[in-house]
Amino acid sequence: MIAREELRKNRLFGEFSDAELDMVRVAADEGTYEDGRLIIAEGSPGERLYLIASGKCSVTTEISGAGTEEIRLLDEGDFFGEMSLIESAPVSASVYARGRCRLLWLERKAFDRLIAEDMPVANKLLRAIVLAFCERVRVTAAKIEGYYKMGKL
Amino acid sequence: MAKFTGKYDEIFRGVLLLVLLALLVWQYLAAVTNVLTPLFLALLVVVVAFGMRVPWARGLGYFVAGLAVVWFFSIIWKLLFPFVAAFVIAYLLSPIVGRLADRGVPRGLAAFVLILAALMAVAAVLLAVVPPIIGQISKLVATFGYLPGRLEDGFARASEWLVELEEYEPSPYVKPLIDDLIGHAQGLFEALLKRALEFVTSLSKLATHIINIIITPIFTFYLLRDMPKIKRWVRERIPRRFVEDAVETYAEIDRVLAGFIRGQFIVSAAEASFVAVGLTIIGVEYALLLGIFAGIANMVPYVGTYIGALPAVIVILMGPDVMTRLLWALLLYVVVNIFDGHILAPRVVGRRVGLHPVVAMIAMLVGARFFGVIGFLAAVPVTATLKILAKKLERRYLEGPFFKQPPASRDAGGPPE
Repeated sequence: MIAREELRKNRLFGEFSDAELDMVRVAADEGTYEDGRLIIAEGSPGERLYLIASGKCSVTTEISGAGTEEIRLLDEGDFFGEMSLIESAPVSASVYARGRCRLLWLERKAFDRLIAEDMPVANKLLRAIVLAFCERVRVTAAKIEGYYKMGKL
Repeated sequence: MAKFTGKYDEIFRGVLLLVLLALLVWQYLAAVTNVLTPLFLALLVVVVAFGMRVPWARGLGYFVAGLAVVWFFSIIWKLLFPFVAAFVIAYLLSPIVGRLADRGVPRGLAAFVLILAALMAVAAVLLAVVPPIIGQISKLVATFGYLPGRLEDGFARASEWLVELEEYEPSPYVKPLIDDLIGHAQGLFEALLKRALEFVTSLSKLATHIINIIITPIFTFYLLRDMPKIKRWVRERIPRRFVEDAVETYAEIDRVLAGFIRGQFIVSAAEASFVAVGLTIIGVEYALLLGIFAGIANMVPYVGTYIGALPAVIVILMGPDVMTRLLWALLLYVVVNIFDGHILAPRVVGRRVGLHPVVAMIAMLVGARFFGVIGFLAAVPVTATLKILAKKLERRYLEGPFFKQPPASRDAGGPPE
């Protein structure tokens, strides 16, 4: 089974107690992905919330006319795939392994059950996801501000 | 008077009614025996027992339920064979599918291709190995089947010879003895014939086997494809306080078994091919058969190679040119044993499962006694699994309060003398 320490390193589970982590450990799966392997394809139905236990993953998107653009480089402790799990929509970007990485993941069913099963767990999990969203929105806002200023010059 | 008649009348009617009722119940019971299976009755008992508020009723309910489960499996275990086989095959192949999946091959595709490849490999091996083996077996049987006839001839000739020698009828003391011997020889021959007939009738069971042969790969495919899901499903349903222990124990058993099976397969296959090739070069008949036997016998610790050599010695003793071939064959087995013990086995580490050789041998004998060849093959893995479980229990016992509790001190608790 996945070690507690490995899960706790992830920003999703920073506030989890041992007992709460154990609930995740039981429900989560693990696997290794070789360099360059496609983890999630843009437009496919997202079925998993991935956690990076080690290695890096790059998030890319297809921009029509401009080719493939790397949006973000995710590092150990980051997670991805949560958006399509929450809004049940196709994945908004592709994710590739950068170098060999070890990923842990929760399937949609496991994620839903985890949230339904225990109130504090659901609370902490969703809060962590929202926090990450906030950070992302702030980064995006700063980017837009930058573009705006660049446009004014 | 009328009163009496009325009374007798009523008694008569009552008896008649009882008899008729008994007949009716008997008839009904006979009609519903198809419904009143042990399983249904057990279910009724369990429902009634759990409905009662008596403490022993619940225990009785569990007991009956357990008995029903055992009964059910004792009836259907033969149907389960393809599924058990599929489980074993899926367990053996799942590391390969896992590794392919890590490289991005979808599990379903990996499982399909692997099973297809395995089926083709089995078919190829069967095509290559079975006809010669059947030829060798039938030759072997023919050789032995010929024996009674020769014995009979021999006895007949011996008695003729006796007649000629003594120039009179064999003495009344010797005659029954000779007849008896001839009778025994005939009995032996008849027994062999009966075996052959049984073999033919067993061919009619082939249909069942063919169904099993079709079911097994299909079930194996689904097991292989969904292995991680199945594992998670089970994991999520283990009581939370045991899940850690259970997963750890599974991992440990898995490590030992996987190592053993892989290692034993490598060693046995190597030994079988060496012996088969070597015996062919020496010119011993049935080399392929003897090689396979040597590979299987190799599982027995220490003496396996020499057990494997025994039938070869017998075959050589029955043939021509005994001395040279025997020496070469013995040399071959000794060399194979040294190769196995000093070069192959140390490199195939996983073959050791931490069982004492004596324990392993006893386990194989017991397994073979109760479950035949499958019992023999499964003996070491099963025993190794049981050993791991026993170790866990031992640790729990040694760390538990029952073991650690100090003896009650005499001046504090004990009853006065």
